[in-house]
Amino acid sequence: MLRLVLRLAGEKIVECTPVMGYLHRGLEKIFEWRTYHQGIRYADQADYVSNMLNEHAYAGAMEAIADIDIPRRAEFIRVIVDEMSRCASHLVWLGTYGLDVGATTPVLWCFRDREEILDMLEELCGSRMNFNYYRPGGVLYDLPLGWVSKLSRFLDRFENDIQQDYVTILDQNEIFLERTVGVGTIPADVAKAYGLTGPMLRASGVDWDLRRDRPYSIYPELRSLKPVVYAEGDAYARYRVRLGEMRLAIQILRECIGRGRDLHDQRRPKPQSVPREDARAVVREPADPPLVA
Amino acid sequence: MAIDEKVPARPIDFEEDVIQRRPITTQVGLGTPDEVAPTAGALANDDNIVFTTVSNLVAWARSRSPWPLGYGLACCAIEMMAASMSHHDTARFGMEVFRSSPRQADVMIVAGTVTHKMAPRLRRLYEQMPEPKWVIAMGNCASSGGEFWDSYATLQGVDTIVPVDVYVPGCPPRPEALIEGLLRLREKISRGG
Repeated sequence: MLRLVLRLAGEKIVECTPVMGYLHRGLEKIFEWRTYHQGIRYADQADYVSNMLNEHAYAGAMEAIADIDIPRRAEFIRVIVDEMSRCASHLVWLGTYGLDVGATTPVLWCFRDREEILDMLEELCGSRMNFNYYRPGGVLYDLPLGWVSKLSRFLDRFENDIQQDYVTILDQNEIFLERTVGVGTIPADVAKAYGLTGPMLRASGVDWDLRRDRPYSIYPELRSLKPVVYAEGDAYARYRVRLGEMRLAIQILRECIGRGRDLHDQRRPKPQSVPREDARAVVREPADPPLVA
Repeated sequence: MAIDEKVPARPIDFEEDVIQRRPITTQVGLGTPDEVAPTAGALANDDNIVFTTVSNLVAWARSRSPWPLGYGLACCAIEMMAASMSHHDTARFGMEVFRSSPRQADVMIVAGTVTHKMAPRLRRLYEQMPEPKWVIAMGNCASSGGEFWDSYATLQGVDTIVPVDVYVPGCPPRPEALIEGLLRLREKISRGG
Protein backbone atom coordinates (compact mmCIF):
# COMPACT_ATOMS: atom_id res chain seq x y z
CA MET A 1 0.00 0.00 0.00
CA LEU A 2 1.92 3.01 -1.29
CA ARG A 3 0.51 6.39 -2.18
CA LEU A 4 2.33 8.44 -4.78
CA VAL A 5 1.65 12.12 -5.10
CA LEU A 6 2.67 13.05 -8.64
CA ARG A 7 3.36 16.29 -10.41
CA LEU A 8 2.92 15.96 -14.14
CA ALA A 9 4.04 17.89 -17.20
CA GLY A 10 1.76 16.45 -19.84
CA GLU A 11 2.32 12.72 -19.48
CA LYS A 12 5.75 13.03 -17.96
CA ILE A 13 6.16 12.71 -14.22
CA VAL A 14 8.37 15.53 -13.02
CA GLU A 15 7.95 15.08 -9.30
CA CYS A 16 6.89 12.17 -7.15
CA THR A 17 6.31 12.16 -3.41
CA PRO A 18 5.71 8.74 -1.86
CA VAL A 19 3.41 8.65 1.16
CA MET A 20 3.89 5.59 3.31
CA GLY A 21 2.26 4.10 6.36
CA TYR A 22 -1.15 3.09 5.05
CA LEU A 23 -0.37 -0.49 5.92
CA HIS A 24 1.60 0.08 9.09
CA ARG A 25 0.08 -2.57 11.31
CA GLY A 26 2.46 -2.29 14.22
CA LEU A 27 4.10 -5.64 13.55
CA GLU A 28 7.23 -4.72 15.50
CA LYS A 29 5.28 -4.16 18.69
CA ILE A 30 3.18 -7.27 18.11
CA PHE A 31 6.34 -9.38 17.78
CA GLU A 32 7.39 -8.12 21.20
CA TRP A 33 4.15 -9.27 22.73
CA ARG A 34 4.02 -12.75 21.21
CA THR A 35 5.90 -15.94 21.96
CA TYR A 36 8.47 -17.08 19.42
CA HIS A 37 6.11 -19.63 17.91
CA GLN A 38 3.23 -17.20 17.62
CA GLY A 39 5.51 -14.81 15.75
CA ILE A 40 5.87 -17.11 12.75
CA ARG A 41 2.30 -16.37 11.75
CA TYR A 42 2.93 -12.63 11.85
CA ALA A 43 6.16 -12.94 9.86
CA ASP A 44 3.95 -14.26 7.05
CA GLN A 45 2.26 -10.92 6.75
CA ALA A 46 5.33 -8.71 6.46
CA ASP A 47 5.36 -9.41 2.72
CA TYR A 48 2.21 -11.34 2.02
CA VAL A 49 3.09 -12.26 -1.55
CA SER A 50 6.19 -14.23 -0.62
CA ASN A 51 5.28 -15.50 2.82
CA MET A 52 7.68 -18.42 3.03
CA LEU A 53 10.75 -16.19 2.71
CA ASN A 54 9.64 -14.07 5.64
CA GLU A 55 9.15 -17.18 7.70
CA HIS A 56 12.65 -18.28 6.76
CA ALA A 57 14.09 -15.02 8.05
CA TYR A 58 12.11 -15.28 11.28
CA ALA A 59 12.96 -18.95 11.82
CA GLY A 60 16.60 -18.20 11.01
CA ALA A 61 16.65 -15.55 13.72
CA MET A 62 15.05 -17.92 16.23
CA GLU A 63 17.59 -20.61 15.42
CA ALA A 64 20.45 -18.15 15.73
CA ILE A 65 19.28 -17.20 19.23
CA ALA A 66 18.68 -20.72 20.45
CA ASP A 67 21.56 -22.28 18.53
CA ILE A 68 19.34 -24.93 16.98
CA ASP A 69 20.56 -27.41 14.39
CA ILE A 70 18.34 -28.07 11.40
CA PRO A 71 18.06 -31.49 9.74
CA ARG A 72 19.36 -31.40 6.18
CA ARG A 73 16.07 -32.67 4.80
CA ALA A 74 14.32 -29.74 6.43
CA GLU A 75 16.85 -27.40 4.85
CA PHE A 76 16.05 -28.82 1.44
CA ILE A 77 12.31 -28.53 2.08
CA ARG A 78 12.83 -24.93 3.14
CA VAL A 79 14.68 -24.03 -0.02
CA ILE A 80 12.02 -25.79 -2.10
CA VAL A 81 9.15 -23.84 -0.54
CA ASP A 82 11.20 -20.64 -0.64
CA GLU A 83 11.79 -20.90 -4.35
CA MET A 84 8.16 -21.82 -5.01
CA SER A 85 7.10 -18.79 -3.02
CA ARG A 86 9.51 -16.66 -5.02
CA CYS A 87 7.92 -17.88 -8.25
CA ALA A 88 4.45 -17.13 -6.89
CA SER A 89 5.60 -13.65 -5.93
CA HIS A 90 7.23 -12.92 -9.29
CA LEU A 91 4.10 -14.16 -11.04
CA VAL A 92 1.98 -11.60 -9.19
CA TRP A 93 4.52 -8.97 -10.15
CA LEU A 94 4.62 -10.01 -13.79
CA GLY A 95 0.83 -10.17 -14.10
CA THR A 96 0.12 -6.82 -12.49
CA TYR A 97 3.02 -5.19 -14.32
CA GLY A 98 1.56 -6.41 -17.59
CA LEU A 99 -1.78 -4.91 -16.56
CA ASP A 100 -0.12 -1.62 -15.69
CA VAL A 101 1.53 -1.24 -19.09
CA GLY A 102 -1.63 -2.30 -20.89
CA ALA A 103 -1.35 -6.06 -21.43
CA THR A 104 -4.36 -7.88 -19.98
CA THR A 105 -3.54 -11.42 -21.03
CA PRO A 106 -0.37 -12.16 -18.99
CA VAL A 107 -2.15 -11.64 -15.69
CA LEU A 108 -4.60 -14.43 -16.47
CA TRP A 109 -1.75 -16.79 -17.33
CA CYS A 110 0.29 -15.75 -14.31
CA PHE A 111 -2.53 -16.52 -11.94
CA ARG A 112 -3.11 -19.84 -13.69
CA ASP A 113 0.46 -20.87 -12.82
CA ARG A 114 0.32 -19.27 -9.41
CA GLU A 115 -2.79 -21.26 -8.51
CA GLU A 116 -0.87 -24.47 -9.15
CA ILE A 117 1.94 -23.37 -6.85
CA LEU A 118 -0.54 -22.39 -4.17
CA ASP A 119 -2.35 -25.70 -4.51
CA MET A 120 0.89 -27.54 -3.84
CA LEU A 121 1.79 -25.34 -0.89
CA GLU A 122 -1.73 -25.83 0.44
CA GLU A 123 -1.24 -29.57 0.25
CA LEU A 124 1.88 -29.06 2.31
CA CYS A 125 0.53 -26.95 5.14
CA GLY A 126 -3.20 -26.43 4.71
CA SER A 127 -3.21 -22.79 3.68
CA ARG A 128 -3.02 -20.95 0.39
CA MET A 129 -1.39 -17.90 1.87
CA ASN A 130 0.02 -17.08 5.31
CA PHE A 131 1.32 -20.60 5.57
CA ASN A 132 2.67 -20.80 9.13
CA TYR A 133 4.88 -23.62 7.93
CA TYR A 134 8.30 -22.95 9.43
CA ARG A 135 9.20 -24.12 12.90
CA PRO A 136 12.36 -23.51 14.87
CA GLY A 137 14.57 -26.41 13.86
CA GLY A 138 12.65 -27.43 10.77
CA VAL A 139 9.22 -27.26 9.22
CA LEU A 140 5.71 -28.25 10.30
CA TYR A 141 5.14 -31.35 8.13
CA ASP A 142 7.23 -33.48 5.84
CA LEU A 143 6.40 -33.52 2.14
CA PRO A 144 3.25 -35.55 1.43
CA LEU A 145 3.42 -38.72 -0.64
CA GLY A 146 3.66 -38.05 -4.35
CA TRP A 147 4.22 -34.35 -3.82
CA VAL A 148 7.71 -34.26 -5.30
CA SER A 149 6.67 -35.92 -8.55
CA LYS A 150 3.77 -33.50 -8.78
CA LEU A 151 6.22 -30.63 -8.33
CA SER A 152 8.57 -31.91 -10.99
CA ARG A 153 5.68 -32.30 -13.43
CA PHE A 154 4.67 -28.73 -12.66
CA LEU A 155 8.22 -27.49 -13.22
CA ASP A 156 8.31 -28.97 -16.71
CA ARG A 157 5.00 -27.35 -17.54
CA PHE A 158 5.96 -24.06 -15.93
CA GLU A 159 9.26 -23.87 -17.81
CA ASN A 160 7.34 -24.41 -20.99
CA ASP A 161 4.76 -21.77 -19.99
CA ILE A 162 7.46 -19.18 -19.41
CA GLN A 163 8.92 -19.78 -22.84
CA GLN A 164 5.68 -20.29 -24.76
CA ASP A 165 3.50 -17.70 -23.09
CA TYR A 166 5.28 -14.93 -21.25
CA VAL A 167 8.30 -14.62 -23.49
CA THR A 168 6.20 -14.89 -26.63
CA ILE A 169 3.70 -12.26 -25.63
CA LEU A 170 6.02 -9.77 -23.90
CA ASP A 171 9.69 -10.16 -24.79
CA GLN A 172 9.54 -8.73 -28.31
CA ASN A 173 6.14 -7.06 -28.03
CA GLU A 174 6.49 -3.66 -29.63
CA ILE A 175 4.13 -1.86 -27.26
CA PHE A 176 5.72 -3.49 -24.24
CA LEU A 177 9.21 -2.53 -25.44
CA GLU A 178 8.04 1.00 -26.14
CA ARG A 179 6.82 1.37 -22.58
CA THR A 180 9.71 -0.30 -20.76
CA VAL A 181 13.00 0.04 -22.65
CA GLY A 182 14.86 3.09 -21.40
CA VAL A 183 12.06 3.97 -18.96
CA GLY A 184 12.86 4.63 -15.32
CA THR A 185 16.58 4.00 -15.69
CA ILE A 186 18.43 3.68 -12.38
CA PRO A 187 22.24 3.73 -12.67
CA ALA A 188 24.18 1.41 -10.40
CA ASP A 189 25.51 4.16 -8.14
CA VAL A 190 22.04 5.64 -7.62
CA ALA A 191 20.66 2.17 -6.88
CA LYS A 192 23.30 1.64 -4.22
CA ALA A 193 22.83 5.12 -2.78
CA TYR A 194 19.09 4.57 -2.39
CA GLY A 195 19.65 1.14 -0.86
CA LEU A 196 17.78 -0.82 -3.50
CA THR A 197 17.76 -4.57 -3.08
CA GLY A 198 16.78 -7.69 -4.95
CA PRO A 199 15.80 -7.63 -8.63
CA MET A 200 15.83 -3.82 -8.67
CA LEU A 201 19.50 -3.81 -7.70
CA ARG A 202 20.52 -6.61 -10.05
CA ALA A 203 18.70 -4.96 -12.94
CA SER A 204 21.02 -1.98 -12.41
CA GLY A 205 24.06 -4.14 -12.99
CA VAL A 206 25.08 -4.73 -9.37
CA ASP A 207 25.94 -8.38 -8.92
CA TRP A 208 24.66 -8.87 -5.39
CA ASP A 209 22.56 -11.80 -4.29
CA LEU A 210 22.23 -12.63 -0.61
CA ARG A 211 21.78 -16.29 -1.43
CA ARG A 212 25.34 -16.32 -2.70
CA ASP A 213 26.97 -13.37 -0.94
CA ARG A 214 25.59 -13.87 2.56
CA PRO A 215 24.83 -17.56 2.30
CA TYR A 216 22.26 -19.26 4.49
CA SER A 217 20.56 -22.63 4.53
CA ILE A 218 21.87 -24.94 1.78
CA TYR A 219 22.19 -22.25 -0.89
CA PRO A 220 26.02 -22.37 -0.91
CA GLU A 221 25.89 -26.03 -1.89
CA LEU A 222 23.66 -25.49 -4.90
CA ARG A 223 25.52 -25.55 -8.18
CA SER A 224 22.62 -24.06 -10.16
CA LEU A 225 22.56 -20.81 -8.19
CA LYS A 226 23.75 -18.21 -10.67
CA PRO A 227 22.31 -14.75 -9.95
CA VAL A 228 20.56 -13.03 -12.85
CA VAL A 229 22.12 -9.63 -13.55
CA TYR A 230 21.34 -7.10 -16.26
CA ALA A 231 23.24 -3.88 -16.67
CA GLU A 232 20.70 -1.61 -18.38
CA GLY A 233 18.87 -0.48 -15.23
CA ASP A 234 15.59 0.27 -16.99
CA ALA A 235 12.12 -1.21 -16.54
CA TYR A 236 12.78 -3.79 -19.24
CA ALA A 237 15.90 -5.01 -17.42
CA ARG A 238 13.87 -5.41 -14.24
CA TYR A 239 11.36 -7.49 -16.18
CA ARG A 240 14.19 -9.62 -17.60
CA VAL A 241 15.71 -10.13 -14.15
CA ARG A 242 12.44 -11.36 -12.67
CA LEU A 243 11.75 -13.65 -15.60
CA GLY A 244 15.31 -14.98 -15.31
CA GLU A 245 14.83 -15.54 -11.59
CA MET A 246 11.79 -17.69 -12.24
CA ARG A 247 13.88 -19.79 -14.63
CA LEU A 248 16.63 -19.88 -12.01
CA ALA A 249 14.11 -20.99 -9.37
CA ILE A 250 13.11 -23.87 -11.64
CA GLN A 251 16.74 -24.97 -11.88
CA ILE A 252 17.23 -24.68 -8.11
CA LEU A 253 14.04 -26.64 -7.45
CA ARG A 254 15.14 -29.40 -9.82
CA GLU A 255 18.49 -29.65 -8.10
CA CYS A 256 16.86 -29.72 -4.65
CA ILE A 257 14.45 -32.43 -5.72
CA GLY A 258 17.30 -34.47 -7.15
CA ARG A 259 19.50 -34.13 -4.08
CA GLY A 260 16.93 -33.93 -1.30
CA ARG A 261 14.92 -36.96 -2.27
CA ASP A 262 17.27 -39.44 -0.62
CA LEU A 263 17.94 -37.38 2.46
CA HIS A 264 15.92 -38.99 5.20
CA ASP A 265 17.57 -37.34 8.13
CA GLN A 266 14.77 -37.28 10.67
CA ARG A 267 16.70 -36.33 13.80
CA ARG A 268 15.05 -33.66 15.83
CA PRO A 269 16.75 -30.94 17.80
CA LYS A 270 16.56 -31.37 21.54
CA PRO A 271 14.03 -29.15 23.27
CA GLN A 272 15.73 -26.30 25.04
CA SER A 273 14.82 -22.98 26.52
CA VAL A 274 15.39 -19.98 24.32
CA PRO A 275 17.29 -17.01 25.78
CA ARG A 276 15.91 -13.53 25.32
CA GLU A 277 18.25 -11.63 23.05
CA ASP A 278 18.43 -9.97 19.70
CA ALA A 279 19.25 -11.84 16.56
CA ARG A 280 19.45 -10.98 12.92
CA ALA A 281 18.82 -13.16 9.94
CA VAL A 282 18.77 -11.81 6.45
CA VAL A 283 16.91 -13.54 3.67
CA ARG A 284 16.94 -12.49 0.04
CA GLU A 285 13.45 -11.23 -0.59
CA PRO A 286 12.00 -11.19 -4.08
CA ALA A 287 10.77 -7.64 -3.94
CA ASP A 288 11.31 -5.89 -0.66
CA PRO A 289 14.31 -4.85 1.40
CA PRO A 290 15.70 -7.66 3.54
CA LEU A 291 13.47 -8.39 6.49
CA VAL A 292 15.47 -8.07 9.63
CA ALA A 293 13.81 -10.03 12.39
CA MET B 1 -63.66 -8.66 -16.66
CA ALA B 2 -61.50 -5.64 -15.87
CA ILE B 3 -57.79 -5.94 -15.48
CA ASP B 4 -57.68 -4.60 -11.99
CA GLU B 5 -60.01 -7.27 -10.64
CA LYS B 6 -57.35 -9.92 -10.91
CA VAL B 7 -54.13 -9.25 -9.10
CA PRO B 8 -51.24 -11.59 -8.53
CA ALA B 9 -51.53 -13.54 -5.31
CA ARG B 10 -47.88 -12.82 -4.62
CA PRO B 11 -45.05 -10.87 -6.23
CA ILE B 12 -43.27 -12.90 -8.85
CA ASP B 13 -40.00 -14.28 -7.67
CA PHE B 14 -37.55 -14.31 -10.52
CA GLU B 15 -35.37 -17.08 -9.28
CA GLU B 16 -38.25 -19.51 -8.88
CA ASP B 17 -40.86 -18.37 -11.35
CA VAL B 18 -38.83 -17.27 -14.31
CA ILE B 19 -35.73 -19.35 -14.15
CA GLN B 20 -37.29 -22.49 -12.67
CA ARG B 21 -40.57 -21.85 -14.54
CA ARG B 22 -42.73 -22.84 -11.62
CA PRO B 23 -46.41 -22.70 -12.61
CA ILE B 24 -48.29 -19.86 -11.00
CA THR B 25 -51.86 -20.42 -9.94
CA THR B 26 -53.22 -16.92 -10.27
CA GLN B 27 -54.08 -15.92 -13.81
CA VAL B 28 -52.60 -12.54 -14.59
CA GLY B 29 -53.41 -10.36 -17.56
CA LEU B 30 -56.19 -9.45 -19.88
CA GLY B 31 -59.38 -11.40 -20.29
CA THR B 32 -61.09 -14.00 -18.20
CA PRO B 33 -59.35 -17.09 -16.91
CA ASP B 34 -61.28 -19.12 -19.48
CA GLU B 35 -60.12 -17.03 -22.41
CA VAL B 36 -56.42 -17.03 -21.53
CA ALA B 37 -54.94 -20.47 -21.22
CA PRO B 38 -52.68 -20.97 -18.21
CA THR B 39 -49.04 -20.97 -19.22
CA ALA B 40 -46.35 -23.20 -17.82
CA GLY B 41 -44.73 -20.31 -16.02
CA ALA B 42 -44.70 -16.59 -15.70
CA LEU B 43 -42.66 -16.45 -18.86
CA ALA B 44 -45.15 -17.05 -21.61
CA ASN B 45 -43.67 -19.23 -24.29
CA ASP B 46 -45.09 -17.42 -27.29
CA ASP B 47 -44.90 -13.73 -26.64
CA ASN B 48 -42.06 -13.48 -24.05
CA ILE B 49 -43.98 -11.28 -21.66
CA VAL B 50 -42.97 -11.09 -18.02
CA PHE B 51 -45.18 -9.69 -15.28
CA THR B 52 -43.57 -8.35 -12.19
CA THR B 53 -43.29 -5.27 -10.06
CA VAL B 54 -40.81 -2.53 -10.84
CA SER B 55 -39.08 -2.89 -7.50
CA ASN B 56 -38.56 -6.60 -8.06
CA LEU B 57 -37.20 -6.00 -11.52
CA VAL B 58 -34.81 -3.32 -10.27
CA ALA B 59 -33.63 -5.49 -7.40
CA TRP B 60 -33.08 -8.39 -9.78
CA ALA B 61 -31.08 -6.24 -12.18
CA ARG B 62 -28.98 -4.77 -9.41
CA SER B 63 -28.24 -8.13 -7.90
CA ARG B 64 -26.88 -9.58 -11.13
CA SER B 65 -23.85 -7.39 -11.67
CA PRO B 66 -22.64 -5.42 -8.68
CA TRP B 67 -19.31 -3.92 -9.69
CA PRO B 68 -16.73 -3.93 -6.93
CA LEU B 69 -14.44 -1.07 -6.06
CA GLY B 70 -10.83 -2.19 -6.47
CA TYR B 71 -9.90 -1.61 -2.88
CA GLY B 72 -7.23 -4.11 -1.91
CA LEU B 73 -5.45 -3.18 1.27
CA ALA B 74 -3.32 -6.15 2.28
CA CYS B 75 -3.05 -9.93 1.99
CA CYS B 76 -6.74 -10.35 1.16
CA ALA B 77 -6.24 -8.22 -1.95
CA ILE B 78 -4.13 -10.97 -3.50
CA GLU B 79 -6.91 -13.49 -2.90
CA MET B 80 -9.42 -10.99 -4.26
CA MET B 81 -7.30 -10.79 -7.42
CA ALA B 82 -7.11 -14.58 -7.53
CA ALA B 83 -10.91 -14.73 -7.25
CA SER B 84 -11.33 -12.53 -10.29
CA MET B 85 -8.72 -14.34 -12.40
CA SER B 86 -9.16 -17.29 -14.71
CA HIS B 87 -9.16 -20.09 -12.16
CA HIS B 88 -12.00 -18.86 -9.95
CA ASP B 89 -13.45 -16.33 -12.33
CA THR B 90 -16.04 -14.12 -10.67
CA ALA B 91 -16.95 -13.02 -14.19
CA ARG B 92 -19.29 -16.02 -14.10
CA PHE B 93 -21.44 -13.96 -11.75
CA GLY B 94 -20.99 -10.61 -13.46
CA MET B 95 -18.88 -9.30 -10.60
CA GLU B 96 -15.40 -9.08 -12.06
CA VAL B 97 -15.40 -5.48 -13.25
CA PHE B 98 -13.22 -3.86 -10.61
CA ARG B 99 -13.60 -0.11 -10.87
CA SER B 100 -10.82 2.26 -9.95
CA SER B 101 -13.24 5.07 -9.22
CA PRO B 102 -15.73 4.86 -6.36
CA ARG B 103 -18.24 6.73 -8.50
CA GLN B 104 -18.59 3.72 -10.77
CA ALA B 105 -18.69 1.07 -8.07
CA ASP B 106 -21.60 -0.65 -6.34
CA VAL B 107 -19.91 -2.77 -3.73
CA MET B 108 -16.82 -2.03 -1.71
CA ILE B 109 -14.85 -5.14 -0.86
CA VAL B 110 -12.68 -4.08 2.05
CA ALA B 111 -9.87 -6.55 1.46
CA GLY B 112 -7.31 -6.30 4.19
CA THR B 113 -6.25 -4.58 7.36
CA VAL B 114 -7.60 -1.06 7.78
CA THR B 115 -5.11 1.10 9.61
CA HIS B 116 -6.01 4.29 11.42
CA LYS B 117 -4.25 6.19 8.66
CA MET B 118 -6.39 4.51 6.00
CA ALA B 119 -9.70 4.74 7.88
CA PRO B 120 -10.62 8.36 6.93
CA ARG B 121 -9.83 7.59 3.28
CA LEU B 122 -11.99 4.49 3.41
CA ARG B 123 -14.88 6.47 4.82
CA ARG B 124 -14.41 9.13 2.14
CA LEU B 125 -14.35 6.55 -0.67
CA TYR B 126 -17.51 4.99 0.75
CA GLU B 127 -19.23 8.36 0.75
CA GLN B 128 -18.16 8.96 -2.84
CA MET B 129 -19.88 5.80 -4.01
CA PRO B 130 -23.35 6.41 -5.44
CA GLU B 131 -26.43 4.86 -3.84
CA PRO B 132 -27.32 2.05 -3.64
CA LYS B 133 -24.05 0.70 -2.26
CA TRP B 134 -22.95 -2.30 -0.29
CA VAL B 135 -19.89 -3.27 1.72
CA ILE B 136 -18.23 -6.65 2.09
CA ALA B 137 -15.74 -6.99 4.94
CA MET B 138 -13.27 -9.51 3.58
CA GLY B 139 -11.08 -11.31 6.08
CA ASN B 140 -10.67 -11.25 9.82
CA CYS B 141 -8.90 -7.89 9.94
CA ALA B 142 -11.72 -6.02 8.18
CA SER B 143 -14.39 -7.97 10.06
CA SER B 144 -13.17 -7.62 13.61
CA GLY B 145 -9.51 -6.64 13.79
CA GLY B 146 -8.44 -10.27 13.46
CA GLU B 147 -4.95 -11.13 14.55
CA PHE B 148 -4.12 -7.45 14.91
CA TRP B 149 -6.56 -7.23 17.78
CA ASP B 150 -3.99 -5.60 20.05
CA SER B 151 -2.21 -3.43 17.51
CA TYR B 152 -1.97 0.28 18.18
CA ALA B 153 -2.21 1.08 14.45
CA THR B 154 -5.25 -0.81 13.12
CA LEU B 155 -8.99 -0.37 13.12
CA GLN B 156 -10.85 -3.07 15.02
CA GLY B 157 -13.37 -3.96 12.36
CA VAL B 158 -14.43 -1.82 9.42
CA ASP B 159 -18.03 -1.82 10.70
CA THR B 160 -16.99 0.84 13.17
CA ILE B 161 -16.86 3.38 10.32
CA VAL B 162 -19.09 2.05 7.49
CA PRO B 163 -22.14 -0.25 7.51
CA VAL B 164 -21.18 -3.79 6.49
CA ASP B 165 -23.54 -6.13 4.60
CA VAL B 166 -21.53 -9.34 4.41
CA TYR B 167 -18.65 -10.56 6.54
CA VAL B 168 -16.30 -13.11 4.98
CA PRO B 169 -14.15 -14.77 7.63
CA GLY B 170 -10.70 -16.19 6.96
CA CYS B 171 -7.10 -15.09 7.03
CA PRO B 172 -7.15 -14.56 4.16
CA PRO B 173 -10.44 -16.08 2.96
CA ARG B 174 -10.07 -18.45 0.05
CA PRO B 175 -11.35 -17.13 -3.29
CA GLU B 176 -14.23 -19.59 -2.95
CA ALA B 177 -15.15 -17.94 0.34
CA LEU B 178 -15.18 -14.51 -1.27
CA ILE B 179 -17.40 -15.84 -4.06
CA GLU B 180 -19.74 -17.26 -1.41
CA GLY B 181 -19.83 -13.81 0.18
CA LEU B 182 -20.61 -12.18 -3.15
CA LEU B 183 -23.44 -14.65 -3.74
CA ARG B 184 -24.85 -13.97 -0.28
CA LEU B 185 -24.75 -10.29 -1.14
CA ARG B 186 -26.59 -11.07 -4.38
CA GLU B 187 -29.32 -12.81 -2.36
CA LYS B 188 -29.56 -9.82 -0.08
CA ILE B 189 -29.80 -7.36 -2.98
CA SER B 190 -32.44 -9.40 -4.81
CA ARG B 191 -34.54 -9.33 -1.65
CA GLY B 192 -34.44 -5.56 -1.96
CA GLY B 193 -31.66 -4.96 0.56
